Amino acid sequence: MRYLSGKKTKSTAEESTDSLRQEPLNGDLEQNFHQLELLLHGCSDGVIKEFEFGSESKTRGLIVYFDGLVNRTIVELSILKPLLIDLESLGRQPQDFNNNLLVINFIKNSLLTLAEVNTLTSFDEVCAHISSGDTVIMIDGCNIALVAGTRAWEGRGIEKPDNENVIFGPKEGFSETLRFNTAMLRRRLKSTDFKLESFVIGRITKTNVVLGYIKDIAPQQMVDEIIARLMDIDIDGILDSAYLEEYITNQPKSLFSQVEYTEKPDRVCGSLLEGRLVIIVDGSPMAMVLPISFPQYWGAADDYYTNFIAASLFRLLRISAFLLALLLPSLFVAVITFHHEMIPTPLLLTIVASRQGIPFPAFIEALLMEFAFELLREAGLRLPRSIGPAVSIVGALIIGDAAVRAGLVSTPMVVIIAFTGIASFVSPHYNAAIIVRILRFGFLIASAFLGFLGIMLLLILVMIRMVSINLLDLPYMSPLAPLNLSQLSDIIIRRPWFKNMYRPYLEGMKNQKRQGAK
Amino acid sequence: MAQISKLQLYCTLVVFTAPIAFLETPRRMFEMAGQDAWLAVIASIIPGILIVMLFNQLIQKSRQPFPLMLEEHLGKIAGKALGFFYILIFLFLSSYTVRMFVDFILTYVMPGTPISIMISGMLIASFPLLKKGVPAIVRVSEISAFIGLTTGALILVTAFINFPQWENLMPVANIRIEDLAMAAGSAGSVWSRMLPVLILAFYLGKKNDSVGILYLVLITDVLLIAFVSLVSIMTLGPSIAKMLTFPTFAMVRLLHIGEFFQHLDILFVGIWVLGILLPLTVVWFMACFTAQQMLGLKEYQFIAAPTSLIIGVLSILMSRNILELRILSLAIIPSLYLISFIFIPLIVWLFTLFKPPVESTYSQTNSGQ
Repeated sequence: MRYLSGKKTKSTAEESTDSLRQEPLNGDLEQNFHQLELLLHGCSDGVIKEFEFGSESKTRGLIVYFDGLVNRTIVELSILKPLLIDLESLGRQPQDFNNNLLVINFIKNSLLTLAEVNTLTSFDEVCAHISSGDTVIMIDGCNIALVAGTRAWEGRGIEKPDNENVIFGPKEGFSETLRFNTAMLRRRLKSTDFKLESFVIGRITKTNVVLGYIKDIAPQQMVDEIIARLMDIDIDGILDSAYLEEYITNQPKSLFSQVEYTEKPDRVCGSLLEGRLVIIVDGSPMAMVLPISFPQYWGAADDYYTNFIAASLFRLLRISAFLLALLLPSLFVAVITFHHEMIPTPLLLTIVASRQGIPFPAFIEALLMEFAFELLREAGLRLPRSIGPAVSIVGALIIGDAAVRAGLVSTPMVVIIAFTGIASFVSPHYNAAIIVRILRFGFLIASAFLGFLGIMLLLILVMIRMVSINLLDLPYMSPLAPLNLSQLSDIIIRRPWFKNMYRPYLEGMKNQKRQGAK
Repeated sequence: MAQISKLQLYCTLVVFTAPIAFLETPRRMFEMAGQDAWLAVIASIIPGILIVMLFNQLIQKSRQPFPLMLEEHLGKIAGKALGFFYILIFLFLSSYTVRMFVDFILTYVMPGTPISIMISGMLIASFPLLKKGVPAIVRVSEISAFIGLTTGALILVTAFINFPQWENLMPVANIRIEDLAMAAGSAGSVWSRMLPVLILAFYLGKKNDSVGILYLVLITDVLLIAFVSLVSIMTLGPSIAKMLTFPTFAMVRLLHIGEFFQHLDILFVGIWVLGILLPLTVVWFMACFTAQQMLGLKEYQFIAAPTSLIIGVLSILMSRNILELRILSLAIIPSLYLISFIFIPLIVWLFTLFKPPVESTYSQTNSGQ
């Protein structure tokens, strides 16, 4: 009658696996082997190899690992060979030691030629380690096992990031392997003040998550707060850094993202040097930098690799593009529908003439075109790389042209929407682009109802929402509100390095001086 | 802790005083002083300084912000009675502010739109800001002040370049001293709108820092309104400027940039929405905050909803059209400002005349932030 209870209960097999995992290791190798068989039942990639070593009195042992996660050569040459061959060539035998605990210590400290060897005492630890690519060694008569670092699996190497193209500056990008990513950061920040604290999050995935920061630059209360939030997470699995965002941010239901994602290690290092934190998740190439304020979305990584005058002009261009992408369609609809007097008469006549016979009001036209553009954009992302861009371009041209010929939309509207689309691609941050894409529809609706006034009222509501967001005591609109002119100068334009004496201030920051410490 | 910076206080006070002064003060000055309206505005710095000194003394000698300072100096009964009186005043001023702006929009920009829609739109925009509290209000003020002052300067410079008709200012200083004094006094009464400083100064780290801010706000406002008056006279001429209800707006309407961008009034109105929203929110905040303090409530945010209904209904019933509103603004509003923003603070000041300056004992946890 279990199906009537409405309550799911674990099967006996699941229960016993759970309880098996919690058990400590046994001194009897046979029992350990049996328990390992139960735990790895159904895991066809699990390998348990038994062996005997010592020529005079054979001592039994076994190694266990997951095929595909380990470097077999290391397992064979650095674990099995020393045990089976080198031990004897050294003239040592297992029975030379008084007890098997000493055997384990000898193997760990003097025999295995591996940099990373530790001890384990429970099956839970054994499972966690072999799932991460380590190899566990058990010796008969010993209730302690050794775990050797033998991780190596096929993965993407260091490549150029797909989503962050730059002209100048490094072109390395993160990959899915956590240690590659932390190594790329460590190569750039050659200081022991650069800390990488590890966590394991996810009951099933047991994902390694690393929190990086520079001690004495990042405010300690910020670090402690994030650690507390990470430790509070209780979930089945973490597959990407984006999973963590909703647990860490103060307003997870907000459209406005309070963190930044990047695939570029140089950008992460730049943020770390400003006192921010980074979270890297194993299996994800996107590093999460926090806390971030909205005006920072106008900066790009390569601003700091080009001449500051050029970079400043590009930044102003990006700010203009952001405003255009957000407001241009709604401004056009407002002017056409409510405020004709703003347009000079010749231009007004041209627009009116082109709208002759269009069955829809300007608002519906704009909405249709925006919707079509969004469909094309999403389709272009999902299609295979070889045909995606071609389909997007052809689709846009054909749909735009066909719609104008059919008299469904006017030419000025197609131009406005196309220009808006191009402006939206100028943003170097995907999160900012998402905000613009969604809000644009809201502004269109507001302009259809109340014209320019509606746009302003919605802008005010958006502004109110943004000024009330804080993450780790950093106001989301900082340094616009609260206004900080010295920091604002490095947001609107790119301040030259010789003027950049101080880091942007974060609450609790003790070391704000960036230059001139000598 | 809901502390605000000096810059935020400056921006809040500028945004609270300048936008309405920008629109209505020049008209009154044109009626009273003609082509010397700009002189009258500059002369209004004298009553402005007196008002600043009055507010400064009240801040120095009070432990608690307004309206608790009424009880502190006048006693519990008189203080409470005046506190309730001020709740009504602030609610009335909120309604007047939103009605004046909405009538202006409906008359000049979007005729035919139902007045209730416009009033609802303004209240809906202001409501979340009020609920978020003082930190959000001052941050929005910073952005608004930046946008407003920049746009205002741009408009004035454009007008100056488009219509450099100096002859409209002639003859200069051709006004009787009594008329100049009356006009200066009338303009000066607008500076009494810096009353929110009696609350906001207690959110600064040190309340004494507010005195410098007050003088800076006064100078900013005087220069801005004087320049607006000057440019309006140059553009429209004194006789036309006197006849119009909103001469500043009429001046903006005539502007063009490069013979291409014309009728910039709608842009001006859009920016001005921001400038009206803050005074509405601040006065509404003062009504709710006063009610919270008078009734001894933990927080004021829940009062926002019922008071929004009061403000909305009152603003619709206040007058039937813009002409009636103009009578209201000429006959009742100046007296209201005089009594509640100058006369009563003056009475309170008399009670504090021989008291020494004191430290603030106000805890911002009382404000429900």
